Amino acid sequence: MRKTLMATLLLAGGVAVALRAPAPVPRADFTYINRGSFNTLDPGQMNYHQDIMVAMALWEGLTSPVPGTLEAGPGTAAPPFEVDADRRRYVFSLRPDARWSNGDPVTAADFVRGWRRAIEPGTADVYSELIAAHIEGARAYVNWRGEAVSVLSLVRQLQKGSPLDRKSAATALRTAAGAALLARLGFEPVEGGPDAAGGALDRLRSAPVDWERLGDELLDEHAAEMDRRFAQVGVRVLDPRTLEVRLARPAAYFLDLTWFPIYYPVHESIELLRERYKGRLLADTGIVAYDPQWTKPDYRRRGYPGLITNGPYRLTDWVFKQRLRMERNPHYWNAAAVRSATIESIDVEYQNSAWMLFEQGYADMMSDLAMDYTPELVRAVRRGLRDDVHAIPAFGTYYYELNARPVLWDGRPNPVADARVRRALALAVDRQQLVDHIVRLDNPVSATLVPPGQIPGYRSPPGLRRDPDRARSLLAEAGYPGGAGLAPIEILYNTGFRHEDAAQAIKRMWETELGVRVELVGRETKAFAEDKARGRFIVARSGWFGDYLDPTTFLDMLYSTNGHNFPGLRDARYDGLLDAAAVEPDPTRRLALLSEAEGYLLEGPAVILPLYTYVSVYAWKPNVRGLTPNPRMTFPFQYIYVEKR
Amino acid sequence: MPEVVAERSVLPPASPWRRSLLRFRRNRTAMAGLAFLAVLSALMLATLPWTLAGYDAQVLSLGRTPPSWSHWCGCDTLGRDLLQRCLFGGLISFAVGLGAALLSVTVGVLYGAVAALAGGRVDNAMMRFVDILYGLPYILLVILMKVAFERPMTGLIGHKPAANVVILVAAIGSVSWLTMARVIRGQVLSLREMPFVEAARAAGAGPLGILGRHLLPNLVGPIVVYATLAVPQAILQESFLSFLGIGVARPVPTWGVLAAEGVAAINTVVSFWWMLLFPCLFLGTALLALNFVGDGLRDAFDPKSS
Amino acid sequence: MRHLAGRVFLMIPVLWAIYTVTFLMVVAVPGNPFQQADRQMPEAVQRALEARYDMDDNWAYYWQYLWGVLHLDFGPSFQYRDWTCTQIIADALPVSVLLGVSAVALAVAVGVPVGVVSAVRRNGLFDIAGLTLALIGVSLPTFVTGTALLLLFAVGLGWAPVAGWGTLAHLPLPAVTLALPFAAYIARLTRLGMLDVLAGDYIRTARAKGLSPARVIWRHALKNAFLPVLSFLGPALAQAMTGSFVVEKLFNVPGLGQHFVNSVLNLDRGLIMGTVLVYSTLLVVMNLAVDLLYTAVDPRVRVADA
Repeated sequence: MRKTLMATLLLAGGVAVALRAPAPVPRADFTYINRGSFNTLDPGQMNYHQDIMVAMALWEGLTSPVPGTLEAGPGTAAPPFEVDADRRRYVFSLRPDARWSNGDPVTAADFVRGWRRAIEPGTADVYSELIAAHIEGARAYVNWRGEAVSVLSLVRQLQKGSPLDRKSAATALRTAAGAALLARLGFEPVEGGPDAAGGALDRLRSAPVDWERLGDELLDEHAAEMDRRFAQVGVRVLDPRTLEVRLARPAAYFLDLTWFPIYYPVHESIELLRERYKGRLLADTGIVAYDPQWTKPDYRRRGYPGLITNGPYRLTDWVFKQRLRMERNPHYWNAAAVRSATIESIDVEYQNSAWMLFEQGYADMMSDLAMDYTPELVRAVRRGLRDDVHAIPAFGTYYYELNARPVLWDGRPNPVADARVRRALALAVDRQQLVDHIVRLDNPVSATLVPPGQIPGYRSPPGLRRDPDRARSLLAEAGYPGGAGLAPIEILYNTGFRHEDAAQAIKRMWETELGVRVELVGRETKAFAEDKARGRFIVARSGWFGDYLDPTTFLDMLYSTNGHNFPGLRDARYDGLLDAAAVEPDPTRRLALLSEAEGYLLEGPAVILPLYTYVSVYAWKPNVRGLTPNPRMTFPFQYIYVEKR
Repeated sequence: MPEVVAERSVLPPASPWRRSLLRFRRNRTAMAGLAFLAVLSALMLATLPWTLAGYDAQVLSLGRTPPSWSHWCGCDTLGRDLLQRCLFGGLISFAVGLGAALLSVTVGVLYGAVAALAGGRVDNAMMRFVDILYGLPYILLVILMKVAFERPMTGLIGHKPAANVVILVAAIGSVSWLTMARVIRGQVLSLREMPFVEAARAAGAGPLGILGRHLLPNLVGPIVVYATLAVPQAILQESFLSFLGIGVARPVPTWGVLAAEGVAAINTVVSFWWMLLFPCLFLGTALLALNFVGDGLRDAFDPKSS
Repeated sequence: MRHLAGRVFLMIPVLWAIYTVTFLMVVAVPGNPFQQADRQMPEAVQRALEARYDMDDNWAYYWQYLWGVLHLDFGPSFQYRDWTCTQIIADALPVSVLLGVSAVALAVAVGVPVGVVSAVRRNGLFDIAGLTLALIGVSLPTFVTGTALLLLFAVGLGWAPVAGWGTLAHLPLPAVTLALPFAAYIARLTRLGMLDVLAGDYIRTARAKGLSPARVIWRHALKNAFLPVLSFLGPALAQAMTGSFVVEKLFNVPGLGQHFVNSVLNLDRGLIMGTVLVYSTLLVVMNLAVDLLYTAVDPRVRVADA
């Protein structure tokens, strides 16, 4: 028996030796720990803060953010930028010494490639809105492409004989492209509800059509028209070093957008990895697809040289969920100003372990602390007991959304359909208690959606502050005195985070102040997101960080047709105020209009119940220099370095 | 009456039950465990009116206060008395443990016995089915069951948190019966070849008769033992799910929820030790006692160990 | 040999069934893998992504993925789009194998001696002390024991690095944490087996022949008492290699266990299917290997019976 034991142990030892990792590389000049691991390094597809931060080290847009203020400073294009009088046309000239990490010059075509990738169906992601909403013709192009893709997908499904989802098929057939398809096959256009579309589908399915050939024909026709259509999008190469940009409407903050990853250039080598369908540059459903591995530094396929970037750093090593390493890009135009030669990010999933690693000196910085005891660290700093933790009020708001639809998704009447009930709920919440005892980061208590005091010149409306008496009388006025007769109010939140504590506390406040019944509905993140997006909630927790320093980054969400309008608000007055602001040339009057819109949103329909302003907590060692805290927690890595003692 | 003769050949005159109980009673650790569990359960039941009223009584200003004379175990993040939450949570944990154990024993015994008695292809197919269930992703199963049964179960019970606990019990039980089924099948396979079963079969007893009359009495030992051991395992399972954030829905506490909250609060800077210590003390001692009882029962029921 | 071939052949339908049922569960679970908690994706973008990742045609996906699996291609990850599931699994599997094998080896090295000594010195001080120690391993959640070990040995005493992977110094703490419940279970299994065997006739014979007690215990008795442990090792290894989610999280080990849980929470279809297939293959193969070992140790058992 001992022999068996010995053998087992020897085996384990052998495995241990065999699998031993290569000797660790020397520590980077600056090492930090992210909250969560990297999801993607594709600048067109990223939407997590940690991804965006690294993208800003690897790439550079037309401008780059000035540390601290985050105004658009000199980037790949050198100021001054040419702006037309109507503030809708910009001309950028790229600096002659702007180079990719392999030495190639950065051209205007690289920017067009990057921006186009960012909105093409198949490579576009969440942030594509920032281009679609601002660049002239981009929205129309995206819609045209999207319709074609949905029709082609339908054709391919018919080709494969796979089961069809009636709803999405009906949507596809109702588009212009769908109508064209029906007309081509000699069918009537689809009108009416899903049932009518169902009939059309059945006819399509039984039609004697060679779907594969038809699909390929449609694809070719579509591909032939694509470039002509894209030429109408407001981004154009005037010459290799000059880029012209036309906006859909004037946007005071447009230059700030150009340092955001969605507006980055992409090197032409990516075209080597374009996926093809029977020799065509599009997939069979008309989407654009690239080999997603292009972001690896050591990826070699079809002559692909590995990731090439144009920023202060280039990627040298990326091990999934373990570490990412960058080194100074020698071809960067301002390479002399890049402080740390190497930067490494370590992935640590569990916050407690991450903090221990930071404290023991394995990292110089830890970003976005979210431990249970973060507030205690912040308090220790206030008392002068430590100097390595920093709490910074963020450009983001934590809030609840209240469903405005009269009927819920499952046919029940919506208990908060009456605006008076929603106002009562807002007036009954004790935000100070929430901040003092649950969040505990001394968050600014705000009754507004746009974080107050952060946008110069913007005067925040008062919003609905705590007033339990008024809340009770409003509730009685709506026909529910003391909460009697009101169906239970459900709070939807995603589990596993601190949202549960806040939801429990608010449940308690509503129950004691108003006498209403409240139920908690916790869901896993993906199910939560889907429920919220489909309006399947009564009250849902929410959080939003502004993308650019303007109220519209918050207020646009509640516009009737906006994709983020989860409460389903359809309010002509609110939309009208936003429309008026959009065309208002005078900056002061524009901000006043937006302030009026926000005031109306909060006190009128009251579909948004702001709770507090987020506070970001970062930790860095006292000898770290060049880190400039700001509400958007955007700090360019090239200025950061560790002072040697 | 061959049946009686056959039974006599395995069951000695002095009832084995009594002898097992006697052996169990002589086992000091097991008896200590049993006594502890009895006292704990009595305490939790006796304080139920108090804990039921107080387990979700938030006093936000008392958030995270250390143990004091008015709050012996301190308070949690929302200023709720931790002792009340531990006592009430213990009942929920026990309910989860007992429910899941009961479910797994019922399903496991029936399934295992039927497979063994049927034998041949049926047995083979039934065991491969168990293999398949073993391979399925457990977390996915739990999430799916929660989603699928949340509404109907709430409608049935009329109380959302209670429905949630029931679903969780079902989810945990639905996986833990697999081991039970395998164990029972093995036992029945070996018992099947015993002379007294052969005799019963020769006398014309049907499979169900054999199961009820001859096999089950002989299976009581292993069943009791595994049931006792399944309880702590189910409680641990629940704590794991709570750690993942898919356990019992707030604000209902269990020891697992409380321990998970305590672990999140533990750190090297400012210690909220009571938030981890007290739930773990309850959880650890109760599970230790349950395990002692289980081991004691196993020793007592094992005929060869006398 | 024919039985062996039969067993290997039977693995295929079992794995296929696991694949199919898992796939059905993945399709049934609500939520959208491309959706995030707060930032919403435009409808058209989402439809295009679904087309890109074959989410719009489940049936096609089912066959395509199966075809890919046969070529060891587990498809792209939805959550980590720059990586293929094959890369993710290939990176994580060796880590998990190392961690799992070390943990189980450790569990055997500790559990077996403790079990033997407990059985020999039954109800003595060592029995009770050893069992109590072993039972702590199954009486507290791993996230508690792991945190305790982490705070004590890595933070307090500084004997081991806090977290990470890559050198041998990183191995002990996670391996010990992972080994605890297995060690406890093995100790109990060994103890029971020993008690059974020590009461057997041939041990009495061996003793009567005048063999030294140590020789009797370690050579003759343990060989037979080890059989139940052996059959436990198969599932234990598979479990230790994939069920180490908590340990991986606490100690930041880049193993497979995290993907087992996170892929489900992310609804990362390819990764769910991939991890499940890897796990169930491990399970089936380990069980088969253990059965083979079993026949080697105990010639009375044929493979088909196990």
